[in-house]
Amino acid sequence: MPRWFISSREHKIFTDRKRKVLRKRITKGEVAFTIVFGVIVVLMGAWFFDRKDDFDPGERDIAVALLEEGSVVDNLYRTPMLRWVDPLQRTATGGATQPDLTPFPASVLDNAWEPSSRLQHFTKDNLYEKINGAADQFFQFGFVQMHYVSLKKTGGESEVSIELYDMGNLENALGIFGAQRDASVAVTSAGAAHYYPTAAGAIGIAGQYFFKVSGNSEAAEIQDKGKALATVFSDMASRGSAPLPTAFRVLAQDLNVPFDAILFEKSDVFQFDFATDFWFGKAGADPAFRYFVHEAKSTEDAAALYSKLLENQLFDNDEVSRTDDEVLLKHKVLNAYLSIGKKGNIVYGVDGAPETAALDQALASLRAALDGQDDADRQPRPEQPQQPEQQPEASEEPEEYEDEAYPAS
Amino acid sequence: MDRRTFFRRLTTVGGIAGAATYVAAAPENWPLSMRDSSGLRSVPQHKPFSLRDFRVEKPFGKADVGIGRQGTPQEKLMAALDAIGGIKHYIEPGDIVLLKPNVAFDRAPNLGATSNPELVELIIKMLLVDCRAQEVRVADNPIESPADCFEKSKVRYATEKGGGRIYLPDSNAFKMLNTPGAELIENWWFFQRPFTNVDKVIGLAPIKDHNLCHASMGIKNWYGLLGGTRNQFHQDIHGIVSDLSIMIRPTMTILDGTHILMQNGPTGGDPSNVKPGDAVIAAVDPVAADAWAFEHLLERGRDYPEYLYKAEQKGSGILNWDGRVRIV
Repeated sequence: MPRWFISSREHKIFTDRKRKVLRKRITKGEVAFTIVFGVIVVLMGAWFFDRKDDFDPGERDIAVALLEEGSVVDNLYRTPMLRWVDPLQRTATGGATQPDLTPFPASVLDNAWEPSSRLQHFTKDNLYEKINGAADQFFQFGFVQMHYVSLKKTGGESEVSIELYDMGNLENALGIFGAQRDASVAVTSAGAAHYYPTAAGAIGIAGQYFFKVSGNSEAAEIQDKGKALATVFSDMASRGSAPLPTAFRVLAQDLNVPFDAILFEKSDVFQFDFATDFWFGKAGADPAFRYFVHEAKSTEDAAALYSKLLENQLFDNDEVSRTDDEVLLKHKVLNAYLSIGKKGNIVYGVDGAPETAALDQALASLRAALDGQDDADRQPRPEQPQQPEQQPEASEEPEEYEDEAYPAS
Repeated sequence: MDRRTFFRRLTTVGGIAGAATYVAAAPENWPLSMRDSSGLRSVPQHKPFSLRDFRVEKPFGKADVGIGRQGTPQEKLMAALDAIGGIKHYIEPGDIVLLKPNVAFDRAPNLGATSNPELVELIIKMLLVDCRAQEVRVADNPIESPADCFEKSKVRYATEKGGGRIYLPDSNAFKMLNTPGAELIENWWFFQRPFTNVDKVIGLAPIKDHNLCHASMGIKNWYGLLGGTRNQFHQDIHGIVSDLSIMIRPTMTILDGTHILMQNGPTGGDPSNVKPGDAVIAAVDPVAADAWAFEHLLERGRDYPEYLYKAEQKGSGILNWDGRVRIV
């Protein structure tokens, strides 16, 4: 055995000799190495402690796919209580793969469209996570829930995102529709759905639902899908059992106001914070000339609202004539006529009339329409029935829905 | 074991056990006590960091706000940048540049809710080729799924095509940022990871209507760097947007006036709400740039949003753009 090896065995710590730690000699090399090694360990420890997770991402070649895996949706994400199951993985009876998109009807997947995202549901508590900044407008109109899914054309590039907002009732749906709609765009009706096609989909309402379909391009197949989805939502809404509001029936059915000329204002009506939930319908060529109808909860509420409206309108208007239940006012600056009346739990009137003859004619029509309504219809409406979580199967007989007589616009 | 040894060991063990019991059970205000009956002592304390000022002094005689209105989007961008001194004045070779587009929603670019991918690509190429930047990072913390937002808005494709790198947020990418003078976010979670070692910061924002604050432009774009439960700030939208103007002092702000979401913002959904525009704005004064865009591109007159007045009060810029704008 070479001498240097024997020598090293004699002097090094790492030898196979017993009781090596009790030896009396430690070489300078070992001492130096131990000091350098110790310093390196201490420096590395200090470096780790200092950097923690504060690394420069530019020093690491992290694949985007890896970043996607680790990415989070802000810090608002809440772990679902139930394990999420990919709809595409759910197996229907018979072994065939049947995506479950409830509450969307299965027919949203016609013409070879398939889901390209997971089905998402948003309530008032987390709508911010989807449309932050735009959510408050929906809250003003009684937003209940939003359902979202993206569909992709099988084998193609076209993709549409569907936002289906459950607004609780027709008033709210119409209110948000009116707030978002471009007034110059004509509204198309398809059964219970009223919508306007856009270059990349469709926007409209169907019963208590407000829907927005937006595609990733302006291709014809996306526009067609938007229209087809409007029909699907019409069928979905037709299965609802909520009665139409009296005011809406008066305007749409009795006065034949076109759908796109009917507006529901939820708050700050006439710029008064006490005036809420008014229906408006166009009464003439001038957009400012319009009917208005409000359905109060009781006769007393209607009388109180009538008095308050009259009191406040008198700041800007002069009184022309008055009966027990109706008053005619003339604007001090615009010279337009305004009539306010009450009948049972209804507050009604005509606003923005250019002259008294036109106002009288419109008012007479409105009175007649209100008189024609069955007394029972003018009673306070019961609470809207709770929307069932599970939509009935498409094969079930749809319940009668009174909007068959909607005037086509 | 002899008696002496036994007592020595017994004393040692007893001493250690007694000390441990004291440390664990002594009232919290006693010396060396580690008791945490309320749980407050174990709450992590986050040491806030400060963000540096990324601004660069503009060349003498150049405008604060440059606006390109002629030719292709690239020509408009070049003209706007030249009006404020040229991009090479602001970006030096070897710089690491962070580009902050608005990728807040998983919307297609034709809906006008997100930054124009064409401009993203153009700017990245300009930074890498013309300015010889070391790296261009593209980062945002979207409202919705970050991966989906970058994908659907086509910003991911544009970034990769241009040669930049996307940084998506993850749970460790946020740090507590201290912003002196901020009303609502003096200490708030900030998407810090992509800012590590960054030399310059450029904001690239679309111009769009906003349901709450009337307009979302250059300053509002920085909202996308906040973490935490930021939705609560919508209660004081003008306060938070003006805070954003002092939270970060960018090298420059670029506003995309080629696709303007005129209504139903910030999400949109109808291409008819998007108006084709003819302007690209580059500015070193974000307040003046937003004011000009609000007036001329959103066509809302001089009834500026309240946050612009507040931002001016906080020293982020000067609202009156008269004489400080150069239109090419």
